[in-house]
Amino acid sequence: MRKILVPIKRVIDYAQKIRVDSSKGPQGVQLKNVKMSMNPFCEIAVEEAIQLKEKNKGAEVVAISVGPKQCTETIRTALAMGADRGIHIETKPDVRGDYVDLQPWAIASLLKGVVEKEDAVDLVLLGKQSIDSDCGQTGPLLAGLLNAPQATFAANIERGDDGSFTVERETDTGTETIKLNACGKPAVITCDLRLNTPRYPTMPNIMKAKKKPVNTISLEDMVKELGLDLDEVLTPQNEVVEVYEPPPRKEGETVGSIDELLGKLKEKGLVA
Amino acid sequence: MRLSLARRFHSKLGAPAAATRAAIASSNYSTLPSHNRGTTTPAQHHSSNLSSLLSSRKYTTYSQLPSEHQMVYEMCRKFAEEELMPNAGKWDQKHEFPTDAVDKLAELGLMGINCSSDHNGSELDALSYAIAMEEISRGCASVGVIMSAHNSLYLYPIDAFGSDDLKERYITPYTGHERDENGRLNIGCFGLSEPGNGSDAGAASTTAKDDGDEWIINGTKAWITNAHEASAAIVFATTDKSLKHKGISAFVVPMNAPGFSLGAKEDKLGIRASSTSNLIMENVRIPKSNLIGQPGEGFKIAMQTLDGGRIGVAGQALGIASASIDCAVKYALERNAFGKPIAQLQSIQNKISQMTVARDSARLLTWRAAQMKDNGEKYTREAAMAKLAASEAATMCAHQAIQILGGMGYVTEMPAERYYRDARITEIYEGTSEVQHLVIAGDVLKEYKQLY
Repeated sequence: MRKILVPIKRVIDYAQKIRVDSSKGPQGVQLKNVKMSMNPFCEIAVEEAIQLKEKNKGAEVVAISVGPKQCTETIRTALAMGADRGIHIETKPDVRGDYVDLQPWAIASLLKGVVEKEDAVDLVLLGKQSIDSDCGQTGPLLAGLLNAPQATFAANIERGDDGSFTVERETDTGTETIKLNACGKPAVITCDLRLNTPRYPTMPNIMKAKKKPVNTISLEDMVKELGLDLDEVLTPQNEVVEVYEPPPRKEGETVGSIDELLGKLKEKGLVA
Repeated sequence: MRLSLARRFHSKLGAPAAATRAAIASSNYSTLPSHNRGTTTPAQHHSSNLSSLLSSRKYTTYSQLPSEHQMVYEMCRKFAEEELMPNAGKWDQKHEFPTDAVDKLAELGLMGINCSSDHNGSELDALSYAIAMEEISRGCASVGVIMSAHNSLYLYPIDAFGSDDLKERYITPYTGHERDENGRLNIGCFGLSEPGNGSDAGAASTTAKDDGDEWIINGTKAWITNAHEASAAIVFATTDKSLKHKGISAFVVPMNAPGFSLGAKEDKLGIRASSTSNLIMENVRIPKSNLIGQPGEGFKIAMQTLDGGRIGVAGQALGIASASIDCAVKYALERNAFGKPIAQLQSIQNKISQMTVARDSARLLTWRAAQMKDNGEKYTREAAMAKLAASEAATMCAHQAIQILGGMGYVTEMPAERYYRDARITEIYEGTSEVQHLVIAGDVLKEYKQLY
């Protein structure tokens, strides 16, 4: 195995309470003083990449992130888990203020360029979705742009000696196993919760992470290098119409007997 | 020396004399957030360049920490929340040594945290150690003491004073990445206190007799943390009684040596998952090479070891204080009385504020001591201040946490009562609060005496 590319996203920490900030417009979410961390599904992707690297000596794990300068810290965490080097495509503070600005199409376009530039990428591992926008689009879009085989919602990944990947996918009705044949294109796999449990970075690895190289390049420079159009990249393809908190839970009803309960359920059309 | 003292008088008295004002203006001091005390001459500071200014920069808040300290913080906090917090109550009730958790701690590199990579250590600095201790102890104070006794008290003296041969035999296998023939982690312990002397460390009655190729150790050590899990002990014994405390020497004693036995495990008020007992040595023979440093250096080694150990214990106390504050504030936000959450009542808010101020000020003292140690400065006074403040903060915060929880604080369903019991020991071991006062006052008086 040669290179495994792992795109990672810096998002609001999963344990934080999200507060809508309407002063920032109809899609505003409060970001000030809010703890940010690596997207949990991206962590699972990093862990899988490192496990594959451990099974296939000589494989190189490259973590890549698009975002403001604090993304370097997120990349360092990936390095501390065991990734070999990082690429940081740095955006100016007003771009990527939150998930609304740089969207899956833009990220996938950038990643396609990076995959082609890096060459020798055998696998791209992504989280199935990010916990802020929950689009779940970047992986499939990237596979489409690369004309590459893909498998989403992976719960188990096995690599064959011929370079193929056998993936167990989570679906609503059960698990589906599919095989991505080696075809000269990198396999694109998005990772789901059951795939693995990400490791804690050990102290020695935290120290080693300091010395691992992280290549920082501005968004504008990267776009130029990849021959893309900056306007096209920055124009959102999706429009967030509204962001609102879910309505507060309504009180339940107390019923007096099983018959009454059945009656109510039938009334609501929940039981025939 | 005179310049730094003038600086201190400036802040105390407000209006410095003209000479000192001129001296201050001519130095780079005004750009440093805090200054080195008494260890460099004015000439050295006057010529300090940018890099040494940066190296003596002090971190006071989490957001200022460099990225690897932040990663240490994140990792230890996550580990403590996921692996320690859910089990700490059970370990405490069963007095159960948390073998699996300590194994995981070792895999993460936390049982050799300051040792060089030559010995498979993690090569982290004292500030990282203090941060790690706080986060781990916030999860479980017993795991905290197991970790601190092993790192500060067992590994440090061998690392700082031992021969290369001793380091190979007693550090490399003990930095958490090797296992003994039973598959168990190699843990160490520190034997200074005896049934007859605790604070009076200079009165050691354990003896070490020179017998040609070997030393023969006789005596009993008391209150030894990790006694029942450790395989090697640092033992302080008198080699020359006539020299009083200058006749004490330090040794590494393998605990499987003939004549070495353990006392019964003590039944303690707190930190119950860690084992504490006597070490009994009856004509225990150890090779001559097991002496640490020089004969007669033992007292100095003990004192220097305890300086660093105090930073670790301060970290542990901060963890207990932080856990108490978390528990109390969360409860106060949910518990309703008089028609609203008790967090809105002034007497609860006063307590929350007092707890946070005590914990934060102790944390600043701890970080200061750790950073002074990392900068190679003398930090005895600062470490004593940190331990004193942090342990008193821990007892106060745990006490008030129970108070805020009311009846819930008194029962084992909530962790507040465990924090209260765990906090208490921090004012006692590695130098009682009374001894810390003596260390601090002694150092202050020495400084003033040198002026006049």
